[in-house]
Amino acid sequence: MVASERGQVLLIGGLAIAIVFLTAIPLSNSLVVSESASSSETVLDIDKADQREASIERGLRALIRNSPDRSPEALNRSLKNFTRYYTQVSAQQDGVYVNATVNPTESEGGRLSQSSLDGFNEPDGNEGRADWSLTTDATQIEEFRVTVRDIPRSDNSPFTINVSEAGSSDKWTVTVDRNPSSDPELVVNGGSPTTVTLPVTVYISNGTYRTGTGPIEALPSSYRDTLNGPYNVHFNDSKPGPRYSGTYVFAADGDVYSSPTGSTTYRSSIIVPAIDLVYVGPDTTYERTMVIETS
Amino acid sequence: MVSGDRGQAYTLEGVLAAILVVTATVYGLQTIDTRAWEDETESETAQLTARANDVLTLAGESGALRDSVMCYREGSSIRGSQEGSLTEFERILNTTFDRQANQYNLYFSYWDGSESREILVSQTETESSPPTTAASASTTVTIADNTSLRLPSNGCEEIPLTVKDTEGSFYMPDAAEDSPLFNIVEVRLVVW
Repeated sequence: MVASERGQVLLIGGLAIAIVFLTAIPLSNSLVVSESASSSETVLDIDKADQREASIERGLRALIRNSPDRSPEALNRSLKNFTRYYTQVSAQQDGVYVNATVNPTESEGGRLSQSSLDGFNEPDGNEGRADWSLTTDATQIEEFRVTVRDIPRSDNSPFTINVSEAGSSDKWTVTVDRNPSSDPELVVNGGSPTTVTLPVTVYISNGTYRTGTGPIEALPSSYRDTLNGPYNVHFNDSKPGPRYSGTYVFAADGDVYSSPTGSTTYRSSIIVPAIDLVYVGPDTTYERTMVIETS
Repeated sequence: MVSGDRGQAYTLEGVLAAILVVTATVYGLQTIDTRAWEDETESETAQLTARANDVLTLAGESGALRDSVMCYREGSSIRGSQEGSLTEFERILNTTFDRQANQYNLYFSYWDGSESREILVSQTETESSPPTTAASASTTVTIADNTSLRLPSNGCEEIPLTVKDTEGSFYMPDAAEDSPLFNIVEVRLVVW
């Protein structure tokens, strides 16, 4: 009798242990299922935020590329309009709020210009050097045009604009000179000369030129065809002899001289903007600084 | 007294045995993956959503989506199944959805001066409404003032006119007249 009761107790004990095991297994299984389900939702949320961010970045790039005025104030006005309409249009679907402003300390770029009809002057006021630099290590040249209005007749030294690849001997040049019959001519990268009339404007950033009031024509080659960047840009003129005269505009990132003297002026021009972006979406909220390359 | 104790032990044994049977049943159900039958529609919707997102991302990055926005005119349609020359975006739609027998609607939303306006630029040929299980994806296209217009004919060829030049005759207005921004279009693709 006692042995039979013990057998029953052992049976109950065995059943209890079986229940403990059988309960633990489905519980751990359901934990794994829940975790994988929630991870896949999280991945989808991140994907969605990532796609949104890519579309915002595309929009900012299109907007900045088409902004003629690159001053921080003008860019901030454009960004304000962009964020306003982006938020309004996206509110119809999943309600995204974005705010974008220029980060002036992280943004790069400057614009040098000489607008008076003078000899080409060095930004730092030094008048003695024939070869002088406009910038070094520029990754992006947004605007670069040079207008030559007068060529000294008594001097045979050409006026050359050099664009070279930093850390390399590769370079691309545009030379303005007079040929033996005294006609002005343009030579690109040592190629065949093209006779021009003054004033001649070379749009180096676009790879075009315009002679007198004629149509804009393509240069035989562009510096982008042969160089990869970053770029060093320097002028080589006939100083200290008779001077070539004209004007130029140069806007790029890199080490643009920011304290010019004389007829050269400098203003802040954002070529490679850094944008502080605040993104508030249905699933994700973040703030980050994005650098917008527009080239 | 002894028989009373044994009765209690029988009861306990019965309860434990019942719990064991229930637990074994639950365990058995959990080990078989029944989601394949339960969530088939949900799974299809998730796959379609991923494909729709991929289409919009690809077309957005390549510029094909912006070209389609600039090419669209009121009364025309953007479809991957239409005859004649297809634009790049229409070819993507054709490859991804039309050839797989999926149906889709495409909507453009933009700021219309005072409110956001949504237009249906592509509707399924049967003109049926999307079912509740339809997948949806969206992205945005930013139009600047000097973005070139495109002709709906000849595969969406670019013409030497900017969107600002033809303001008033283009289907969307300049939302920000004092800015290089012209408008922002949200493109929504609903697939089923």
